[in-house]
Amino acid sequence: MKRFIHLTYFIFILFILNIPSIENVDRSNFKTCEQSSFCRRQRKYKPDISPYEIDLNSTKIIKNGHLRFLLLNTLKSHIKFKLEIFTLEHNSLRIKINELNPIRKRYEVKYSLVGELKLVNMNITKSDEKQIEVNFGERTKFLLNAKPFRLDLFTNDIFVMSVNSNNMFNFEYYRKKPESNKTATNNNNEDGMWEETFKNHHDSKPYGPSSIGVDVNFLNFENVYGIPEHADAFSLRSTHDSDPYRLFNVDVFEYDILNPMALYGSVPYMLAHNEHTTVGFFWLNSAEGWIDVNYNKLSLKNFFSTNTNFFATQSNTKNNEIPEVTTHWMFESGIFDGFFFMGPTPRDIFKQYTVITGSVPLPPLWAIAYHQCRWNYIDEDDVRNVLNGFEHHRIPLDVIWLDIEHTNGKRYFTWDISKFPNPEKLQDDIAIYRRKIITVSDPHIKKDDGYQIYNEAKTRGYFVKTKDGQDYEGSCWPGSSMWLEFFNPDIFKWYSQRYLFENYKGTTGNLFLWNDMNEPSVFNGPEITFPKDIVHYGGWEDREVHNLYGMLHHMSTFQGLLNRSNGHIRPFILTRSFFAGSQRTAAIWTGDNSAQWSHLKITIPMLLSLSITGFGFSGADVGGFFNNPDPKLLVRWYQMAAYQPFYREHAHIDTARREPWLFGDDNTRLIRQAIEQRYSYLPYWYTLFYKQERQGIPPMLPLWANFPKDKKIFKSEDSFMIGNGLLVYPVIEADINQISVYFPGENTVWYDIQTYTQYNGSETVLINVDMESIPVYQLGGVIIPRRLRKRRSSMIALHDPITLVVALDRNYEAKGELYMDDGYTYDYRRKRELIYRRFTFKNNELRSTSLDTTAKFHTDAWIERIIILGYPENPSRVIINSGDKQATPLHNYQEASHTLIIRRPGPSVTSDWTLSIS
Amino acid sequence: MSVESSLVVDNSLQSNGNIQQTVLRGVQTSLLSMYIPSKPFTCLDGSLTIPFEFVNDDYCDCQDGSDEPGTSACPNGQFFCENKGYFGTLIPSHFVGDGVCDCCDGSDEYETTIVCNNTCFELAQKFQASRDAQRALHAAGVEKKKQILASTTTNKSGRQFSQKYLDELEQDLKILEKELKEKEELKRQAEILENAAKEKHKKLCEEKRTMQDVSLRNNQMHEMFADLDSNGDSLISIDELQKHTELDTNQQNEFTIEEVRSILGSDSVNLNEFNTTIFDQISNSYRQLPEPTRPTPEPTPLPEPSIDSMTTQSPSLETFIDEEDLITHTRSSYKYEDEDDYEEDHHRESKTLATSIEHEKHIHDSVAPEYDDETKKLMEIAEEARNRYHEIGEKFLSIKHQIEDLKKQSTVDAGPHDEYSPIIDQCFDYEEREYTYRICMFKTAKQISKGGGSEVIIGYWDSWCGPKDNKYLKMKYSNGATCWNGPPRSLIVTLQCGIEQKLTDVREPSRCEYTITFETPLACDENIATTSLHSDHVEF
Repeated sequence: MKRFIHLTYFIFILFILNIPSIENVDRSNFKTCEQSSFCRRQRKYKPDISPYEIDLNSTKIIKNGHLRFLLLNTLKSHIKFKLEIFTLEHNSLRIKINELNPIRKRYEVKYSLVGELKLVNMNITKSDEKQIEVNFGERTKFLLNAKPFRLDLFTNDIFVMSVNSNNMFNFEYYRKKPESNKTATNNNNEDGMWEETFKNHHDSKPYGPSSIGVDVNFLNFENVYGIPEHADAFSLRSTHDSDPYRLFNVDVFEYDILNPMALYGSVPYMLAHNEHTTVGFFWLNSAEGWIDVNYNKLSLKNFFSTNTNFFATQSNTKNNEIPEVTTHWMFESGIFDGFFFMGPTPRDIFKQYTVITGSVPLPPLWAIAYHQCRWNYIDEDDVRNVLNGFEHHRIPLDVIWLDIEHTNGKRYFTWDISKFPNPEKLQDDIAIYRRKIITVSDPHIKKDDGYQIYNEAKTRGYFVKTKDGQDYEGSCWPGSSMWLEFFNPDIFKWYSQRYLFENYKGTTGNLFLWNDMNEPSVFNGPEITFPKDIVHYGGWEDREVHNLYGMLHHMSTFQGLLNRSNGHIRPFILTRSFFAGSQRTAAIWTGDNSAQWSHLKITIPMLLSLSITGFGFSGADVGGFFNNPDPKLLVRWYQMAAYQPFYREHAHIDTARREPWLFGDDNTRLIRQAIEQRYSYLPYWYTLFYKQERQGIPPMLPLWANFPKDKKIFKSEDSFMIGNGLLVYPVIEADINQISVYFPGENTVWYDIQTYTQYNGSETVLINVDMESIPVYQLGGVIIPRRLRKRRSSMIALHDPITLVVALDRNYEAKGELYMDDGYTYDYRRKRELIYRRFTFKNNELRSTSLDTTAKFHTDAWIERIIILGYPENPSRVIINSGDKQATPLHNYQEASHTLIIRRPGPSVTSDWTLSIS
Repeated sequence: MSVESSLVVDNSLQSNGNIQQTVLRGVQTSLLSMYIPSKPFTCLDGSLTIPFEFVNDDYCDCQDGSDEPGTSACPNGQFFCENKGYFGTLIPSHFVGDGVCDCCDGSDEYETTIVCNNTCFELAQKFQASRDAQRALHAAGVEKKKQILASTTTNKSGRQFSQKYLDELEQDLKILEKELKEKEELKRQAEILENAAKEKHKKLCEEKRTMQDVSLRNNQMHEMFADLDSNGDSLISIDELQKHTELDTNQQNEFTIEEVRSILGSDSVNLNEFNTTIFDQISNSYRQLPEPTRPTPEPTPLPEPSIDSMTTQSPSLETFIDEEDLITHTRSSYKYEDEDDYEEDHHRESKTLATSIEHEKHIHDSVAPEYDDETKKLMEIAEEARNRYHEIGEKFLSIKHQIEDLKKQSTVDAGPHDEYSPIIDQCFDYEEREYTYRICMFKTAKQISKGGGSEVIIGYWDSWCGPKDNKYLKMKYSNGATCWNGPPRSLIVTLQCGIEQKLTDVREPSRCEYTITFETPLACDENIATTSLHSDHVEF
């Protein structure tokens, strides 16, 4: 929600805070690499030979799976580093490099990791004074070269990644500040090492330079992905002619697209994919980061002359050249803490990353349904009128949202009682339809002695401090504000308790939360955020922990909501700022986008980048936050977002009303249809979210995640998949009547979900589209559970009957899953109250079996319809057996589309059954 | 669907419950004839015929949902709530069994565990009470409406009837226009004489000024020279000037001899050299040394404002016809102007005012001598001519506006029976926390800040904009002042029957798009007031 700063703020900011005009993104508010001194220094560091060497005589085996070495900078022999290698379960490797005896402790991020990492055995296959070679995991291997320091990584004996092969490893150790009168002539002290100024903001840098740079190179790859959040292409673009991609959580007003500028969240995790292997590199570091990406050809001459068979694709190396993606990572502070995920498949990679940082937990069912938001629904009447609008227009809805104006003067945890005199009653009335309400709660606290939260936090010293130990004061929505110090466990806990019913008056169990502005956004701060020399709990500078602030904010909120129900009800929180690990406690959205076709389009690569880096529960504001979408754009956005994980309409306070029925009957119908499609697929979505919790596979996927060998789709960002069953090609251009659809996979068959028309894999087809069209295709071989009945909200439909859509592959086979539970509690974990079914179609039989026989969940839901796509002929008879019961349901065969519809087969979804066709 | 009826029984693992009891559930009374248990059922859209057992068997066969009125199987079916004691109503069949009591008799929730209280009787009572209240309100309102209409002369026929008056006004306007031209000519002639005299005076002034300036400079120069020449040798030497460090353009270091010499151009200068090369160079930064104390020389006087800018710019007749301009000159005398284009004009006027005050101030501040008697007299004559011209101009505009208003009034659509004509041009206020909202019917709507500050036009009368079947329910005022970063402001007024005329319930659902309710007896409906008399027996 960084909303347009409206008139009051405009005047405030323009004239008091010296922030200039606000037309589009004001890039001058944010640093370029040139303006960030460590980036400037690191980016130009490129010696011919790396001065860093490993002393292999120093090798220590701490335990099996954990080695330690001394690393030296031969140009500065007095500086010693320690390099640690950990071989981890699931084909993963961790490398840590830190100063051996730093004069100041360097920051290590803990919040991102889940639990203790499990080590696996190392098998040292070669060790001399030049290098050490170690096998670990399933056919994965590393080779550590001593002089110079270099690390090569192999999956299935294929050379995939390499560290410092371009000699850019450069570790700025902590040093004493030189005497000031010598500084003018001292080269070391130039280039912003000891202080720097950006615009009017001075950064005192009391500890001097502390940055780390390293090159990580992906061999035989032509595409790398990830490192969100950027409004940029999915397959990352070369930064040869631009700034590097930046990771620094900031509130960018009206962000530009196709731009490596930093946005609200940061995940320093990159994936590389080719037709053989998928690998990943994650540098756990919460400081400001910059990443250069370059696409090169690597000459094989003189390169590992003894090991030419390292490269899988000899045929491609005719010219003794292979492609390589070289990446240069630069962080301002902290340590080198790199995780290397060795794949080899996309699914392995998703698992490997989420084993380290955690997966998205199964959200409540209503959270993946449709949300209606606006800055702002004004008062109780307004909320009721909007809800009535959904009733009247027969549009399903699960959640209505209240932005900042619902509070008493932007004092979070309060209500403006002139507008919301009876919020509990409002929530209870909404609960009749099993709908929810979500209120916003930002981390800035209005400076006002009459505000209890402020007063208590002030008295207890709970606010973030400046370098001089004063409470840091800045401006945000409420005007003069202070920020809570979530790094302090006492404050974290205290804040979480603000969400308890007794503290957050006027709330019921039907209310959930939205954490916005938590980068944090500070209207008068440098780059609209905290100064870097702010001192957090434990003495850490904001410089070291900046990108964690938003995550700690929403983690504390999560804790509060969890405690509110004594751990019984699944919380839901939406956050704008995030870091690696945020996915465990919050959903995210892509912030303040704009009502433009280009922003509709960029949503796909943005959400795909988030999906593959752990954020499977994400979405963009439908319609675009800023400005007014024309009805076509709005309809197309509703259609696309119906197939994206988080589905919420949201708009800026200065925009015209945009509830779905305000654009004429035709558009109302089109929007209704899009939302109804979403609801019809909720059983499938919910199953995918369960799989995500268990296996780390995000529901929304790039095409290559399902078809890793199909080279045509490695850059696709006009389409995506939902699970392994649905291919989505949303219409993202204005005024077109045809789109080009490529059906991935060899020998696959695809079915239009509306017409059941069949298409062959590896073919590109021109598809006619009109405003009704949402081009979505089901893959032959996949069974998808749907609810074709309509309801007002997802929770009301919880026990409604299921329709199975069985799409047959070329061997007339298919399989799929269905997960169900109560939709909102943790009983699925604590009491194992769930059902998880596997449906298999083979040899003219469709079977339902349990994937989790120890679990149980009571539901009346039954199978009301089975639609078999690609069935070759009209069968004579269909029989269904379940236990000792047998029935012969009616069927209907549509010759033209080869579709067999079985009417009312009737088994309970909880039972085992077999349907036989003859 | 190919249906073999022999397979119908027990064709599913799902039990249907007691089909006999539920088979006609949810069917509208008027459609019961279409659902005959002994015959196959044809979907109401005619698309399919199915065995009657398929009706309400919790599976959707018909595209129009007509086979499942009593279950939630079809996304588009309709369930009939019988609602004994109240009205029977149709609800979407997907409301059936969803845990929400939609029918007042609770019949939609027959299969769920939720207990729905039968609220039909209560609803019927409420309905009756509310209808009685409405009837009473409208009856009283209609009486009031009659009174208002009776006491108003400017109803539609009245407005048309005033054609004669309009003709008279137009006749007056023609006469005034002629007179205005004459007055303008007189004014023009008077101003020619006036300007010539002023011009002459101005020249004299300028000559005098130049002389004054020269002598002033000369005095200063001499004073400064004497001051600098501290040893009185009629030469200014380097060390004499060096004491005046304020003349050091490079303030960072000392006032060196070299720097002093570069000002003097030599080691010393006499009065003449000082006059031609030094004085102008240093006069701005020069300060007397603290001692010996001497009176500070007067600063160079500001150049006087040119007399041209004081000459009254006389609007020509053309600009008068362009009334915007005239308004800015003479608006204060037109009462109705206050309600028209107020904000913009107000703004412009205050601007004009501000500049002229400033000019006047200069006149009094300046040392310019008074006009001679002859010029003064010519100016008086010209002023008189201007005043005559403006007087006529005001009359001219006033009548012009009356004519326009009359014309506008006669074209305003004041309702199907012209019932809103009594409020044409009437203004109503609504007081809110921060603002007063003022609507002048069929004219403008404004937001007036209570903390002082400006008024903002939120719309000009645009049109009736109620729904197709009730166009006169809502009024639209559009094209108000444009919002910062938003659309032009606009307002929708919903009319509602009430005894008193008043505005209620202002809202801003979208930024700068306002809504308000206007209660008025004029919106009361005779039909509502009387229908009940012959249809009192609502069929519950």
